[in-house]
Amino acid sequence: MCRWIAYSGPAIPMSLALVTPEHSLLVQSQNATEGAETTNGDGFGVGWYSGHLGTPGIYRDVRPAWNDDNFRDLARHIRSHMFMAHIRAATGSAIQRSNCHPFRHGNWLFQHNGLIPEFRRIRRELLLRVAPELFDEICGTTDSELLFYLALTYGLEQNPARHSAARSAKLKRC
Amino acid sequence: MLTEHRIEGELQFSAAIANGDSLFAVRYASHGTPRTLYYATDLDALQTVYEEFSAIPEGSVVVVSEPLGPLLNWEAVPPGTLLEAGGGKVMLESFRPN
Repeated sequence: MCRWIAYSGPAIPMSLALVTPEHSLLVQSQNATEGAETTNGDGFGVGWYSGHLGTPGIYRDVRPAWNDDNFRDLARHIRSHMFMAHIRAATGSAIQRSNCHPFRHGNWLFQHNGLIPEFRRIRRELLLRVAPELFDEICGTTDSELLFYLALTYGLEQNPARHSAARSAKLKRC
Repeated sequence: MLTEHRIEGELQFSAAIANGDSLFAVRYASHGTPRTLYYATDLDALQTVYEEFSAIPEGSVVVVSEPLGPLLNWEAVPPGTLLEAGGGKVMLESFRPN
């Protein structure tokens, strides 16, 4: 599966949560202890809000997090009041940058640990339920990104998380 | 849809969603045990060991798939829960898609 972390509070250098702790996300990328897999090396990503822009920044790549010096450096030098980071253990979708979390739409960020069972069998049907105006923004092939766009379709921006995530999770009326 | 297609596997959904003002986290599985999720609000304990953490002020909330170390008081997010963090506060409510 995957591992992730999210922070909200006064602005801090992101490394204090992502790199420094004894069992940091970097450590978990090679040695997770509670996940379905020990190793989460199929890419990584970090998304952050910087205060002077409404939209968050993201930095993602397909290499393992432990092999990316830029990740450590950016984390040390960027202060943020809200950020999230993800290390990936793919469940069937390709290892490509557009499949790395977090995903971004406007001022929204989304990252996910989990899966839709037998995703390939119902992928097309689910894709057709995404709102037409959102469809072109889907860049990758993961169930996670599709869940995000289903949540947006079901009103995430109007009803933060509660309503839309519930509908996505239930795949209601699908 | 999963029922309609006779898919018996479980939908696993431990996710973080943010908009810059609020941070939401969901721990949910259609059946079975959802992927783990923990949170911590008092990060002071790390200051004694990790000097850099003295920069973390009060009002911080960290949500994680697994704890970052043994020193903090990590609270497990119960299965079927929506967590909302913002302004230094954490609110938990039941998350059960109907």
